[in-house]
Amino acid sequence: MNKMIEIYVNGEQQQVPTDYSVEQLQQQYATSQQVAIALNNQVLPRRFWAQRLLMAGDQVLMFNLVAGG
Amino acid sequence: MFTIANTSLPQLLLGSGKFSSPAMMIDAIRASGTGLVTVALKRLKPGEPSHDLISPLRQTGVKILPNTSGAVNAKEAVFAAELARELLQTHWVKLEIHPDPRFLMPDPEQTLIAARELVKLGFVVLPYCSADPMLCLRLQEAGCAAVMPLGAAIGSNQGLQTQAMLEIIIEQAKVPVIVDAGLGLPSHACAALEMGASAVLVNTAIATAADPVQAAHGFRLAVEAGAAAQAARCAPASKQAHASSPVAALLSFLS
Repeated sequence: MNKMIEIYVNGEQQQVPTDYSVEQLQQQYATSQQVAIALNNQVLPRRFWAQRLLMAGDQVLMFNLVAGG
Repeated sequence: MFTIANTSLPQLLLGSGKFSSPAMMIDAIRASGTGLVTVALKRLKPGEPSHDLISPLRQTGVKILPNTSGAVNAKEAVFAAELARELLQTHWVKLEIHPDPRFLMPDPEQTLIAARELVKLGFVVLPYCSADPMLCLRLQEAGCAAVMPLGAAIGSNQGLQTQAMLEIIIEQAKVPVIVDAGLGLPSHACAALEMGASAVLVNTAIATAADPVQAAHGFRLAVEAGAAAQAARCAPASKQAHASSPVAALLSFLS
């Protein structure tokens, strides 16, 4: 079994396997809608999601669009 | 119609908040004839059900304008704009920074700082701002594509409380002036257009009406009326009467 690492998703601690990509994390959270992702307070463009593997201590912020004025 | 960054838009812009359902929102958007609808960003909450807002909005054909609501300073607003750009593939942003939760008054200093930064980063910046003529000039100088001074507090339905200041802003502006926030009735929107505003942005007044589709229709007609009045360059008011029928002594031979 893969070793697990700890990351933070929208401020909450979470464990993921060592070879887990940002894209896999995104699919775990949001399959039916578009999201934007920031990694360690930098916007991470979608084209990097598949190749960027999560590392221990990474802070991931995930945003979607909601109604607003 | 009016133009922002070479894009022609109807003069009624809509916010997407507070509708009782997504279907109601779409019906109201269609009834309003708008070409631009604002949306907001939110952090996903694990386990919370979420709705796809964008697909139904895209089906209406409107342009989607993300706002930076929730940002309490310039740094957060720039970050929100970058996230929205990545999410929607648009470089348009409605800049709004209102740290005060009670009156939701826009922070003029942080808004100007963020506007300068966002323009440098290549954004088309539409700042929600106080109805302050000097601030609007500064935002225009900063390169904003329009200014969006408030009529009254967000969601307050109080109408054009800032009318005298809006008149100065409109007279001085070289970019479109979009009166945003506080409009409660179609007549408020009509008055804003009559004064020379390029457009109005309406959300609460439509979304929280008992019949939002009728409200949207009413605002659409009011904006058309105001735009026609603006184009007509209606004559100014005067204190004394000016006869519109002949008043020469018609029956003076009787006296």
